[in-house]
Amino acid sequence: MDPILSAILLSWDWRVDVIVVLVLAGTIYTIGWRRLRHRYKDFTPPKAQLRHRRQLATDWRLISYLSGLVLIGVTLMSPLDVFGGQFFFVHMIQHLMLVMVIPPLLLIANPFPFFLWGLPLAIRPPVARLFNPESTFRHVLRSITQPGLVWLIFIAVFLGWHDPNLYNAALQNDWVHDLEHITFFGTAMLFWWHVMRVGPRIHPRFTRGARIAYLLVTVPVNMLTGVFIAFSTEPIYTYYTTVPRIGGMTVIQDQMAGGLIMWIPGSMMYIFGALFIISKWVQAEADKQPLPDSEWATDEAMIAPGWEK
Amino acid sequence: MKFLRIVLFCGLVLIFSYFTEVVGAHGGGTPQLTNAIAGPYWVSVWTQPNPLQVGVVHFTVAVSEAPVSGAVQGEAGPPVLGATVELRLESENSPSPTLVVQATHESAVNKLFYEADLELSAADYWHVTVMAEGPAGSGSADFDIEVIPARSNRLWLVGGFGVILLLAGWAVQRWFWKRQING
Repeated sequence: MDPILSAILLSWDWRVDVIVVLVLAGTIYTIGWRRLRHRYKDFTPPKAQLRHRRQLATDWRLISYLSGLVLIGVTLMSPLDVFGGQFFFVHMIQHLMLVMVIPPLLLIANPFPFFLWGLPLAIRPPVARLFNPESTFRHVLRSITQPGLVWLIFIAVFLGWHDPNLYNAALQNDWVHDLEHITFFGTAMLFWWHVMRVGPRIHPRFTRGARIAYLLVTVPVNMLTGVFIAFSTEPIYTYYTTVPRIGGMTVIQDQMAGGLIMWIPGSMMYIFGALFIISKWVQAEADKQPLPDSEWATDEAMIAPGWEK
Repeated sequence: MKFLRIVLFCGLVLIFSYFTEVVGAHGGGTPQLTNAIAGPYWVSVWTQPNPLQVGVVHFTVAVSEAPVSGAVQGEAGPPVLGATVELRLESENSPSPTLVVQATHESAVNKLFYEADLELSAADYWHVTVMAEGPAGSGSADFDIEVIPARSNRLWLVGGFGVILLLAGWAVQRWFWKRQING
């Protein structure tokens, strides 16, 4: 194997803090998943409830959650992280993973109830009480995570970290770099929480139409930032001019590749999300029982639909 | 309740700052040399922390081949692997002996770079010489750094204690308030 490629593939940063957090999150989720699964193993509730229980602790949820955690590990410790300091486009792939791939993967597993069930019995009731309708914590959380506010914070974080001074500072200081990743991931989790409507459900119902709009209004912001970076003829992030280039890729070529990644695959993720919701919507409509003929196939309805008595 | 929210917010900020602080240095940092000519090589050096303080200082060194003709001006050639990279540090004013350390791929996270940690005992100006020896020959480049006295960055400890005190005060006040209502 080419020694440079070999050196790149061996560049892993095994971070104890990341590993501890991931193992802890995985353990709590798995314990909760097992408890919920076991609890309803021999239970035969009414048919509708049984269907609901089975749907909660499914294999695919566990796989999805654990895959999300593995991807966090890969994103924060693999060469993807190490070479983000040398190539802008690699750093953009890393951000794409943290903002658009990992949060939906974790949230589709509906982690909140499993986390609650994964906690020790002594801690579970006080934590659950935090989400009671009368709880102050719930009120505060609800008011600071309104969909509109979350969208604004998500966009502000996204644009803010692409400011050249902040971006260069992130590449020069590890703690600023971590802060960048934590804020990206944290705000993305809140953003996708509204889109995917998973627990804890503390906000009023966010309709399908609103969720589609929520995703689509994010596209222009992402797209314009990507276009601006891709077509810039001067290095925006000057830190990259101070690092050795590998493989003959110049700073401008690297910047263009990064901008394109943000622009095309980055925007596509929101569009895919919107299309997924539309397909579910269409499916739900298709699954509905058709109206009996007596309600719509009358002469009056056929002549003037909507005006029949 | 407003008071409790503020206290909780301060607590969260402190916990957050603690977790971001425990992260160690790995590659990158403040550029000290950028594509400096060192014999047949180009050398770049970064240091951490920023600013440099008495204690452990982390050096990251990149050794590249000189650019071939036709390359973009100012951009180095491919990285040189397997070179011997040595750092020599001399304090300008204090009588400390010259410190010598070898930067290696083994201690580097980015295996294309060479990294080394060095304990600097004096707050002073230090003269750093980087020597690289590889198949194409050897060369050196140098630069100066300023090392300031060590600063305690344990704000979270003081703040954490403050948050605990505030929470305790809030709990006591609430207990008295409940007693007054009941009694």
